[in-house]
Amino acid sequence: MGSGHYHQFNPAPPSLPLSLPPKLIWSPSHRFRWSFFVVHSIDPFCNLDLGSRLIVYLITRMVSRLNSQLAGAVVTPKILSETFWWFTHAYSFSMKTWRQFIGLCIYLLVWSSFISSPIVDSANSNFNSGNERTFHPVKKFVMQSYFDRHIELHDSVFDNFISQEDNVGLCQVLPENHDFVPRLSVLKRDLIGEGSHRHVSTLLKFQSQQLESSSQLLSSSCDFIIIERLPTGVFADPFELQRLVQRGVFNDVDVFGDTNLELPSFLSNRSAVEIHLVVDPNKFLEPTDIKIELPLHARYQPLNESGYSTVELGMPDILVRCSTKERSENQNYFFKLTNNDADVMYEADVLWRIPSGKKAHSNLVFVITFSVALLSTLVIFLSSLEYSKSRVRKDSKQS
Amino acid sequence: MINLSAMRSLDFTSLLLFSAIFRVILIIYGEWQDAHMEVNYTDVDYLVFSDAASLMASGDSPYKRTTYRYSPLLAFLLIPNSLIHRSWGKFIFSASDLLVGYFIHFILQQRKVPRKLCNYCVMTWLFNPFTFTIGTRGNCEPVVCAMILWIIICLMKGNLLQSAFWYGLIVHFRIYPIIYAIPIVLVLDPNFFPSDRKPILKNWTAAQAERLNDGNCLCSLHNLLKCIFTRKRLMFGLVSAAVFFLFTGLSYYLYGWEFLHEALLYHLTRTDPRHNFSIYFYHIYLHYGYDISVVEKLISFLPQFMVQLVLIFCFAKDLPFCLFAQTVAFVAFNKVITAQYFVWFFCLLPLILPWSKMKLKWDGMLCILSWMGAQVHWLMWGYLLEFKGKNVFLELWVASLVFHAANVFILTLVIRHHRFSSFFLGLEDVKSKNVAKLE
Repeated sequence: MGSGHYHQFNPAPPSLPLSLPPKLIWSPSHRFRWSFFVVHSIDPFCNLDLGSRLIVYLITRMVSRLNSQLAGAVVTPKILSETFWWFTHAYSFSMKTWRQFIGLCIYLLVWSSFISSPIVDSANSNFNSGNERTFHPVKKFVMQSYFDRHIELHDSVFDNFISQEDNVGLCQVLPENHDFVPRLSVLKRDLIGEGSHRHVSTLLKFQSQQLESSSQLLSSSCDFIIIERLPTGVFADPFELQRLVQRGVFNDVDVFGDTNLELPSFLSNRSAVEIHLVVDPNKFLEPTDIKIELPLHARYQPLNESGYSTVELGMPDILVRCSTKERSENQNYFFKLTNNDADVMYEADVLWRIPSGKKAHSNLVFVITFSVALLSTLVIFLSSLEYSKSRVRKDSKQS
Repeated sequence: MINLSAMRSLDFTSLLLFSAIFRVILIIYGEWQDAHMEVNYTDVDYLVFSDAASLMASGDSPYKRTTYRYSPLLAFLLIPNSLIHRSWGKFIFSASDLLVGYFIHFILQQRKVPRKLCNYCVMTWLFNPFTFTIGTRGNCEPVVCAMILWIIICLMKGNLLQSAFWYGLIVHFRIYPIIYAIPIVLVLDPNFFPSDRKPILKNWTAAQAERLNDGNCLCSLHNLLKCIFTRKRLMFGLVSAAVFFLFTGLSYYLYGWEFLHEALLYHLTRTDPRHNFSIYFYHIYLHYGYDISVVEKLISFLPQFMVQLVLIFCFAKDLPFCLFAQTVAFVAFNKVITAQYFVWFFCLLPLILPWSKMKLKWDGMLCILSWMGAQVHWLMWGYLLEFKGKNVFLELWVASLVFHAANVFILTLVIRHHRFSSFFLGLEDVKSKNVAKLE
């Protein structure tokens, strides 16, 4: 059970549930298109003939769109001639007014961006720096395969899913010449902070390891995969998490399931956060701690008589995916960190009290809100009419 | 004489320069704060715009970015964020901020407001903490304000086509300027806009309010219907509608239903139960998920509708004041109020200040203090709810009622202290002036 690749899942291309800004590569036709668009749309501001500029811009837009549809990313003579046209046009500006000066600056800016062929990496590329991935997962994220098969996150279904992986792909039984299993001694959960924006921290304490063959450990790396299944009452902001990845706090993070940031909890579904942390296994030679802090935000809760509703955060699932380079072959194995050992202490599930509206207020709020609205309408009505009347009175006094 | 006027225009130029430098410093500071502190200076919306812009630049739909709820034009404007520097957008918005200051100065100058008063009014925009933070934090509202003022300038110059074009564009960009449609159409009266020449502006005078002149035929309903369809009004309406549908159609052609849903329909049917300054937020939260009856929808829409109508019919001839009062009322009665909406009426405030009888002591101070006080009060409860986790929904809702009352109070005070001054000179006024001159 130790060979490298597990093809038990459909190798569909992994797609992010939320599309974060992709790598930006500008082909020549893109640049032409957008430079024309910019040039012709700022023309009205430069106080040139509005109608003709509008028409030219529309035509250029249609032409370039047609062009890209017909010929792919090919620069045609038509586009070249038009480039020449607006290039000379730009230089024929005599800077009589400051507006034309600004127009010229913008033309030159667009032109320079066209020349300098920028290829801009977006935020996503940072996580590839530094960490050499020595294993080839078919799916980078475990949760991706769950959500490929299921629409919603249910605990029982998820538990089944995880145990299925154990049976099919993941190794509970490890390759014989390796006994690296980090031994968990403490798993502590805590909710840090106040209010609607808090951090849930997970503290993992490991005991020290005994090794049979030390040479083996030095060449492997371990990926800790922490899966937090969030209840509907809270959510994680994927963009905030991406910024943490950029800062190097985690190696990779993604959020799956319902990632709507705005709806209240009774109209949302559950989501799950998967965090990847690359850890050097050599650290486990001595007792070590791993602390993970995940920022979470509270959703608006359903109405509750007491004014607070309690959200319970369960235990995370922690999978460890290690790989070793042995005999120039990559070996991967998964196992799930379990806390079935008698000596593992863990704190109880975390409870989060979130304020919620009280149903008893419904009628009162309705009546007073609309009365106030009507009252203020009346006030404005009366003051405007009185003002107009006073003008009439003044007029009749004067004449 | 020339030296004096050169000196005075230097005053405004130096004001503008100083504001520009100040904003650049703020943008640089914002970059520093983003990198070094937990709390970001940059608005979350700015990151949404940037992401959508980079999606658009690589050929994708900007609506793939969740919570991007604006016209694709905004993403297009911010494409250089990925090319040049990520603060490009902030520079654009701060530049439009300064442009608004320039337009205000231009409008007041055209109406012959004295220089000193003019400069003070411009300062209420350029040095208003709301405005410079909004532009430097990356909010797109200054662009909207600049366009509205440009529309007013086009009307002043008599360029109806241009004003119609920009009006259609701005309604495509942000839905709310649709409330300005009726006053603008009313002001395109043949009395003010005769077919042979450009309209004449009524200048600022230190004198009392002018006589009520009901020379235009809006007094009776029959007359109203007869003269509502003048050539200029029809032209304005048709051109702006055509431009609106052109841009909306183009965006729909490019991005499909997503665009319509996110950029247009969302704003029209937006009910956000999360806490905001509006008086309706708690009501919406308590009834979220339940069906809202037609009667209830009507009741919630009626105050807004009535207030807009009464303000239009009382003040349409004094166009800047009408727009200002309408915007204040619109924001106060809206279902959702966020801090960025305040810029909508701040850009029109300097245009009405020269005609206000309100002195800074003590009526002016009362207005400012009551508005700021009500806001701070609300923010205090909001902080307790969001950052301390206490259930203060009822208190927060009362605070929003207090804020609404403060808005209404200030609006009535401003109305009472206003010196009505029609924006344009009617034909009869011009004739009587000429007669007086001859005599």
